[in-house]
Amino acid sequence: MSILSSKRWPRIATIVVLILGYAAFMWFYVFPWLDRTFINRPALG
Amino acid sequence: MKALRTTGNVFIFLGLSILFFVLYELVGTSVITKARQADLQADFDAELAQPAALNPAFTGKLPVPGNRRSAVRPLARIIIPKINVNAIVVEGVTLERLAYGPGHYPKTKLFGEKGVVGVAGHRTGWSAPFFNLDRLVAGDVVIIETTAATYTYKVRDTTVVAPSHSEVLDGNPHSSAVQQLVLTTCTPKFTAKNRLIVFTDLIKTVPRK
Repeated sequence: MSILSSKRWPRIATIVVLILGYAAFMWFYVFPWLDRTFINRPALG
Repeated sequence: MKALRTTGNVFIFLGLSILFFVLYELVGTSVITKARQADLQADFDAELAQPAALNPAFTGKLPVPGNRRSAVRPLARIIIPKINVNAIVVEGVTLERLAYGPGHYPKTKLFGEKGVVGVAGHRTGWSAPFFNLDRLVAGDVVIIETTAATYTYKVRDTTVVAPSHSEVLDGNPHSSAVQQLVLTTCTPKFTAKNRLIVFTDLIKTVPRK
């Protein structure tokens, strides 16, 4: 029951938001950059 | 002890980030391209079904159907039986266009014209249509289907060049074929270090009836 205590929720919510924010930043900005810079450029020139 | 724990947590975090990147590269990008390819396949089938495409005198320029599903127009269908490729080719080889499927080099000829046609495709992620392109050997068949005709090409040879060697799009120096198709992709797999080039010669044209 301790996980439901009102004092823990703000901390859990903060961690979840940070994880989701980090994942979104990586997915939409960092990973596409890594992909087009190092992995995928099949065209010539 | 605390420093050791922090270091361990950092490595776990980095490891999870790398796994996340692999998930993005191998699954996330392919989900996007497969959905786009499904739309392109439907649009291309719709174009082929138009009455004008069934006219023997048809020259290959069809009106765009009004109910297109894809934002990008399909140019042709590429079929490589040996490596189970069946994808719609789009115009352009920018990374944005290649996220739809294999792309036609705008500076090269169009299918059916005399000269060299160039097509690039991804080998990692984005549905990786040319993932097994290195398995093609002399004699293998590449089929291109357009609204005007079906073209059958035979692989003549393959080579690996640096990314800047765009002269391969001028054609195979060892071939005298009037119409050639050149396929390009990244090599080795999972890197953009070099380009794998597959030279093919046109051996048969069957106009659509």
